[in-house]
Amino acid sequence: MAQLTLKVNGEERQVDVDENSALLYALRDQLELNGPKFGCGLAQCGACTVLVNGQPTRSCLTPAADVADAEITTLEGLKDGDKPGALQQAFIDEQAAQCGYCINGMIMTAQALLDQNPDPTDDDIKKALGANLCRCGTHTRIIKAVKRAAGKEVTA
Amino acid sequence: MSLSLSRRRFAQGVGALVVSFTLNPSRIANAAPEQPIDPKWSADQQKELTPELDGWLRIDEDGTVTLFTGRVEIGNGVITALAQVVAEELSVPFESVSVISGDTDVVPNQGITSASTSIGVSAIVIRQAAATARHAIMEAAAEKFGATPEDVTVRDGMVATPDGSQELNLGEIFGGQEFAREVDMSAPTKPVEDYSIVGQSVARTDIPGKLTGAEDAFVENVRVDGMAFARILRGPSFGAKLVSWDESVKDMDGIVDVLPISHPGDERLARVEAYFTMPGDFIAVVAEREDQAIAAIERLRESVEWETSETLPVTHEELYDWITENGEPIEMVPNGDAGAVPPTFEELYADYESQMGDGVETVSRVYRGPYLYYAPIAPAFSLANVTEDRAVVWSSSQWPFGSRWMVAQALGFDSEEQVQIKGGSSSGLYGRRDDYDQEVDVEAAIISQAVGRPVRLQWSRQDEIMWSQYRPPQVLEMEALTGPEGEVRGLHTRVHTAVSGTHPSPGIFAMALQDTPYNLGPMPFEGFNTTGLLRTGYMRNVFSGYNLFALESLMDELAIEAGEDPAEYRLRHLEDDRAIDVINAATEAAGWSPSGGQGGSGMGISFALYTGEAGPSSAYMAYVAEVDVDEETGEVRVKKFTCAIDPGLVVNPDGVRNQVEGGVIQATSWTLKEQVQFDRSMVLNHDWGTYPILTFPEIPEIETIVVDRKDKPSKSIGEPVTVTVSAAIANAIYDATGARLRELPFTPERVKAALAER
Repeated sequence: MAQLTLKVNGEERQVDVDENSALLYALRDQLELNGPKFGCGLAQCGACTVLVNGQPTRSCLTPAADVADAEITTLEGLKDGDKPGALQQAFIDEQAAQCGYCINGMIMTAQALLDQNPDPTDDDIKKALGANLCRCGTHTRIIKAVKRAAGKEVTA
Repeated sequence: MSLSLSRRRFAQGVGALVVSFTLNPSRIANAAPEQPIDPKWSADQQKELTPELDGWLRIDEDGTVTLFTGRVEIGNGVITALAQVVAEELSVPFESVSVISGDTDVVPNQGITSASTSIGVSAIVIRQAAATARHAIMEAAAEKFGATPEDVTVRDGMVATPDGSQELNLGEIFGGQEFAREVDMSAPTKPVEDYSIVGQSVARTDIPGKLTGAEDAFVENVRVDGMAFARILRGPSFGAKLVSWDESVKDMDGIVDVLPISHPGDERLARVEAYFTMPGDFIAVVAEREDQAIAAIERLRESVEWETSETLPVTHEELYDWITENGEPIEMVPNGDAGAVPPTFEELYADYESQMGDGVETVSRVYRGPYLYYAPIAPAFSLANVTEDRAVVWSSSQWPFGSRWMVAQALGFDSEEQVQIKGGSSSGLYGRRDDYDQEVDVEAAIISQAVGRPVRLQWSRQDEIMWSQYRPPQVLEMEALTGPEGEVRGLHTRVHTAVSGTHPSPGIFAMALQDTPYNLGPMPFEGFNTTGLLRTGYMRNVFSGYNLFALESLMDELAIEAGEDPAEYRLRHLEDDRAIDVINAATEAAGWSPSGGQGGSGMGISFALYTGEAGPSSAYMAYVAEVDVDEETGEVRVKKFTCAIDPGLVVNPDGVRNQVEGGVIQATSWTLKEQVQFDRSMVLNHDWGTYPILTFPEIPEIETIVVDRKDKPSKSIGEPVTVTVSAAIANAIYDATGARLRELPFTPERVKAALAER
């Protein structure tokens, strides 16, 4: 067991991990962050997605030790102070959730897309989110929310 | 044991505000029956169980209103909708209503959040509670004002005399007081034409927290002091017996305990065996950290020895033949008024046979649907803290009171009231935690009891798929009699299904068929059930999805045989205005123009009234699907769904649209991709690669027309919105290609086979 320093949402935080301990459990269980969710532990569904140096990353299979020097951003890190951040607000405005369990992955992945492509087409969004699963069937609203956020950024 | 008042302290489930106070336990009449409680309560029965108004509503001195409900938020928006109903009936601003949900120590038992009954049933008793409260408030205000109750007005949380000379807010009149009266199920309610909150697209109160990582957004986020983490290793077959395992795993870092559990064999599980998972021993690993539990499971997996067995009589490939040949007759639950004697099968069949004669043709078709899996994104979880004579369980159960009974039984407690289930807002479930499907709570409880600590148990994704329960398969043999004009004169249906375990109740096998609004002449039904296969459950829409796939495919086939437009053909068999209106609304919005079986692009329609006009979820729906079919690859691309829905008086129009969109996408996924496969030992699907669901590149565009019928009771829609999808796609594939798909799912191989048969 080793203590490790992670840089999460701009803060340095200490966690206890083993060599192969997945980042997800350090974030959820030790740092008590609620954004990333356990969905499959197989990097198939996307519910656990966080940004590592801006790249959407499946935290359920990423060893925490591998990202010790990286900037890690979780859903909480997208907030604007106490308020929802721009992309989160766009999801609220579109009521783009049913149960909401997958939405962490949708927002984190979409944030990475918008950071690289501020004006995505529907196909760009579908492709970026193609490996993120939603069972409630909120897909059409998620696409609208990402577009709404892109529009805001364009007009801002 | 007696209840201590301090245990009735709790945190609010929705929103950030934390309230804590005590309620008199005698006001919350959660009786502790010895036998499993019947989950199917009507609004009147829900009231009888908790007659006191103080069990439902509370008004604080600042005028805020708190609703207590046994219903939970699993993604349908019901908590917001129920708050709208309360705000409307009390005439208070929506923002002043908060909701406490799913905590068995403080909420009324309202049965299961299931079967599309939260709006259609539970909202009725909640509306009556609010109406009763409103009358109590008007009486109290009249006394304060020296007026008569009839003259007092209530608006926006303010109570006033007619001339406005005296005005107080709700809290000033009634804050902190007990109502000390019963819910009046016939209390006059507000006229619908005065509604200003019900019928509005109020934004859901739970969504902001879910999108920003709020702790109270999901019960899955709960952490308690001293909590350990548990994972489970199960065998490679149903009925697997544990032979040996590497006990050195106990010495790994952070391991609290390793618990081999026999199933069957364990006496705690034996007490709830009828409701438990398929048999099979398992090993629970409890660790200080979740990743340590996972590491121990992986090491166990390498060394453990199992004695496997083949407990299933057939594989999925032989399933339909097996259940067609081996079923036992099912006693059908009849429709109709209580007390009325429905016609017998023999009487109906004689009537059906009497329709045969000159110019009448018989058309026989067989439709098939496989076992389906709920496929929640969150695998089963539970957090239990069991002490000597008390258990608290944080659960995503759809039925906290059913879970309470299961846990109390398994732990051998004297009373259910020794168990507190704290439910509330959780991941989507679609029936996965319905009824007594609460095995994960039982497992967490017995593990917590064994280690003497709070334990958070997380099922793996693999176990979540392989050890679930499933929607039962169906083979529908349909035989229609058609007259000279192509009209249906009678319909004989045989349903073969495979319910194993206690549910779904086989007697409802004809749901949504037996009460169709179509005029189809005499409709004799026969049902046959085969047991001894996979454990089954109440998956969203239960039997009706396959029933309506069959009926709505058959209607299409009959229309085409009659040389008639499929939409017109349906209308010809309908007199119900609401049915006719949704079909016309859908075809008009879709620009209905079927291409007639060619060109690779087509349109299909499907219609349903869910579970008869009087049911709690009796929404009318007509959906038009548009598809492209690649005749080379057999791939079906669903381009668009145009959906018309009439759910009666609409509580939240955007909530209805959200449900329709979700229902279309989930059911499109069932239709094109999903099938549980198994050999004689085990379910073969084990991850999202082997149980694929619809992804972003595959989703259709969806247009929804909500027909608001303010003159009709509000109906629930979570299940109904899925039932008109499969047939609409099948009918559109026919329209595009002339190929008829009668077996779900419509994989490229099946489509190619159907194309070859043209």
